[in-house]
Amino acid sequence: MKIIINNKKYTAKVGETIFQVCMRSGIKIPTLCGAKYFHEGLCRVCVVESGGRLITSCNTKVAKDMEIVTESEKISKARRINLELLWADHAGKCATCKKNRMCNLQKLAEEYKIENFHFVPRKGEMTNSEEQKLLRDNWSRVVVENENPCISRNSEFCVECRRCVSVCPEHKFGFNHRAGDVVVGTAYEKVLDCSFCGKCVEVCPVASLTDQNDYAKIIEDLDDLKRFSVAVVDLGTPEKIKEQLKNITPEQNLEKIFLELGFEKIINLGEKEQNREDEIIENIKTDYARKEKIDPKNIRTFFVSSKIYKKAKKSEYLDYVLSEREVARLVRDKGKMVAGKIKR
Amino acid sequence: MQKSSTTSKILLDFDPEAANLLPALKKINVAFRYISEVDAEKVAEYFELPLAKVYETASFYDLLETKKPAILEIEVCSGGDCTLGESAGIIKEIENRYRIKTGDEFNPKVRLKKISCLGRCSEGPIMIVNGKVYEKMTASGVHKILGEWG
Amino acid sequence: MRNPKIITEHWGKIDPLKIEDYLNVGGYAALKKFIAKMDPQKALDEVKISGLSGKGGAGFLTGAKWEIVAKQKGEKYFICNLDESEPGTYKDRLIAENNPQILLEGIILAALTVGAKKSYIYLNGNFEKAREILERAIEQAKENKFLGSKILGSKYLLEIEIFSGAGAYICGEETALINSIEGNRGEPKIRPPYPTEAGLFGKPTVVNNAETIANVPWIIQNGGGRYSECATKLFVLGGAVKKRGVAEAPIGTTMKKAIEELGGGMQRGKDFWFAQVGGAAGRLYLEKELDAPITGSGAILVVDKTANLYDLLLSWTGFFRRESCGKCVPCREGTFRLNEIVERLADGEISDRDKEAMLDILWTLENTTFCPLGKFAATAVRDAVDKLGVVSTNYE
Repeated sequence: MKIIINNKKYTAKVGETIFQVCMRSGIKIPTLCGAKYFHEGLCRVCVVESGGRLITSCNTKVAKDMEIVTESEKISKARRINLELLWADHAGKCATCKKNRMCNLQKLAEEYKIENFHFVPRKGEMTNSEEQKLLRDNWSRVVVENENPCISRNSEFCVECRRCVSVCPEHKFGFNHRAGDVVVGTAYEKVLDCSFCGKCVEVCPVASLTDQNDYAKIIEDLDDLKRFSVAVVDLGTPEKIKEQLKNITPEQNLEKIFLELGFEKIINLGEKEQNREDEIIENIKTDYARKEKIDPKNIRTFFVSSKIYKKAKKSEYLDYVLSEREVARLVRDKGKMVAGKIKR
Repeated sequence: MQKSSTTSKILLDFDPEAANLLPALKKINVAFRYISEVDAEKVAEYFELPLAKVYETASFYDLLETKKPAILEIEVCSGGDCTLGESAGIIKEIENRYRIKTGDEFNPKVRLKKISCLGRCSEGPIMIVNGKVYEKMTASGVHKILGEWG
Repeated sequence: MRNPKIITEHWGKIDPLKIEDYLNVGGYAALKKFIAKMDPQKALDEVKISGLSGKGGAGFLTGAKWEIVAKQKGEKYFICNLDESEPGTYKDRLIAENNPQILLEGIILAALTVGAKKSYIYLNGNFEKAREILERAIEQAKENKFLGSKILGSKYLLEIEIFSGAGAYICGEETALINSIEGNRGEPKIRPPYPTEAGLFGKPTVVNNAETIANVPWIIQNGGGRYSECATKLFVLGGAVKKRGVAEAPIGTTMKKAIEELGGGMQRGKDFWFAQVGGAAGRLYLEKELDAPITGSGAILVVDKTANLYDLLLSWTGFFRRESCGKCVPCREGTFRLNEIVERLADGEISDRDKEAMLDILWTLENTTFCPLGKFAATAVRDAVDKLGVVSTNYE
C-alpha cells in the first residue's frame, strides 16, 4: 500500500509499523524504549503526527493512504518535554557515568538540546526541608546491586523502558510498583541470580545494567609495565567492539587499539577455536609462559567476549572478562587516564 | 512452619489459572497482612509463573502489600469530598501525633498513607486504621480513636 | 409517566438480600419476555433503538459495542465493570447494594444477547458489603433458574463470577481491567485490537459499566423506543450542597438543576465558587457555565468559596501521582512532577520556571500519553489554570 510521509509517497506492507517504514526509508525517528524486536510505546519519544494528532510510530501500524509528518513544532515539543521529564532524574551524573558517550538518553538529550531541566528546582531555590524531601523521594526506591558476579545494577539511571523485562529469557526482571514509584528490577529486590547471558546489559539504553568488573584494577594491570597482558578475543566480538566504538573514536584498527590500551598480546579466536576458549586461555599461563620464559605471576589474561557469564568463572588462568562495552569504555577513558584524570 | 502450611492450603482453594492469581494473592494478603517473599515463591511455583511476574502483579495493587506492614497502618482518604471536609487537617494532626510524615516507610510502628476515594463520600472524611473504617472524622476526633489503638 | 425511575425505583423498598422482593415488583419479567418471545437479534435491536450509551464516562453506544461481539462466533465474555474508583462517584456501588437483582438481570440479558456463556462482575476490591450482597444475589438467581444451565428451561446458559479487584483506579479502564483479571498488572493495553475483537484471554469481550447494564431490563421490558424518550442518569452530588448522595434524573439535566433540585441547593451560608463534574478527572465549571447538561460519569462536587483550592489541587494531583500505572513516561513522570510543583505552589513558593514546567506537563499529559488517564490527570488542573487563574501572578 501507499502511505505519505512528509509529503512524499512510500510503499508499505500490511502489518508494518510507521517506525519500520521510516527506518527502511532512511527517515530518522528517535526512540528510547524501542529496540529491535519490541516496541511498547512507553517512552513517547518516537511520536509522529497524523491528522494533527500525535501518535507513537513504533506501535502504530500503517493504514492505506495514511499521512504522516515526522518533524514539526508539536512533535519537537512532545519529544523535548518527555525527554526532559526523564532527564530530570538523571542530569548531572553523566561525567562520572559508565555509559558516558555510550548512552541513548544522553544522545537524545544532546540532540534535543536538553541542558537545564525545569521540573526540579535548582539547589539555591530550595529550602532545606524541600531539598531533603526531594532527595528522599528520588532515592527512596533506588536499588543498587553489585553482589552478583556479572551484572552491575543501579536503578537510579533506569528510564523504565522495559527492554530488560522483555528480553530476559529467564524472566528475572519485572516492572514493579506503580506510578512514580515504579522500579524495574528483580522480585523483592533480590540479588540477581541467573545464567548471566548478558542480553539485558546489551539492550539497556542507559547505565542501569552494566558489566560487573573491577575497573580500577584492570586499568592498573594494563598500565603496569611489569605485567604481560594477553587478550583472547572471542569469535564475532571484534565486530561488536567496532559497533560500540562508533561514537568514541574514528580508529578502526583493533590491533592498534588493544596495543594502545596496554595489551601485549592479542589472540583472535577463529571458527576452529570456537568454544575452546578455556583450553586456549589455560595454555597462556602454562605452555605459552614456559615457552616465552615469562613468570606466570606477571601474566594477566583477558577474555574479550559477549559471554559475560564467564565473569563468574574466573580462575587462576583467567583474570578478567571484558565485554565489547567495557573495551569501548577503556578506549573512552584512555585519554583521561593519560591526563591523570581517572584514578588508578 | 505453620505459616507455610497455611499458604499452601490457601493455594489449594484455587485452580492454577491466570484468573485466580489475583484472588489467591488477595487471600494470602488477608491472612498474613502482606505477601512475603517465601509466599510469593510458593505462589509462583503453584501457578507456574516466574517469581518476577508474581511480584510485578502484587506490587501494583493497593490492597496487596509486598513489605511487612507497620503495627499501626493509618490511611486517610484524600478524595475531593473528604478534602472539602477536613482530611488535610486530619492528616496534619496524625503527623504531629506520631511525628511522622505521610508516605514514609521507615517507621516499623506506625505508617500514614493518603488513599484514593473509596466511594463513601457522603460519610466522609474517611480514616482507616488497620482495616477498620471510621466515618465522618474530624481533626480533633483523631486522638480518641487512635488512643484506643495504643 | 414521562420520566420514570428506571434504576432507583425500588431502592430502600425492597430487601437486597431477598430475590422474592425483586420478583414481587416485577423483577425478571424482562428475562422471561426475552426467553419466551425474543431472540438475541431482537434484543440487540431494542438496545440499538434505545440509544443506550456507556454511563461510566466515555459514552460509547452500547448497542454498537454489543453488535461487534454478537456477530462473532465461539467463546466470548461479558464483563460488568463495577470498579468505580473515580473519586466522588459511588452510584454503581449503590445499585449493587440496593437492588443487586436488577444488575444481575441486566447482565444475564446482555450476556445472552451477545452470546457469552461466562460473565464477570469486576468489583472494586473495597466494596465488601456490595460483594456479600451480590454473592447472595447470584445464589438466589441460580436457585430460581435465572442463571446456570438451561435458564428458565431454555437452551441458554450463563455463569456469573464476581472478580474482586485489588485497589487500582486504572482498572476502571477496560483493557486494564482485562489485564487485572488475567493476573497481570492493571495496565492499559495497546489498541487495536479492541476488547470487542480480542479481549479477555484473547476472546471477544464486552465491558459495560454497571449503571449501563442496570438499564437493560427496562429497555427489554418496555422497548428501546420508549427508553430513548425517557432515559435517565444517576448523578452523585457532593460537596457544599444540602443533600449529598445519588439521585436519578433525566439525561440532559443541567448542572444548575442538579445542584438546586437534586442537591437541594447550597448549604446554609455557603456561596458557590465552582463545580467539578466527573470526579478527579472532571472539568471545573463556574457559575455562568452551569446551564450546560452534565456529561461524563455524573459526579458533581460543589465547591464553595471557603474551600482551600490548594488542598483540592493537592487532592487531584496526589490522586493521579498515586494512580498512574507508571507505564508511559509522560504520565508516570508528569503526574509525579505535577504533584511536586503543586506542593510548592501550596507552600506559596512557585517560581516562574515552575509555572512554565506546569504548563509543559499539562501539555504532554494532554497530547502524548498511552491511555486517556493522562488527559484526565490534566483536566482539573488545566481548568484551575485557565478558569481560576491558579498560577497567574494576581491570584490570591
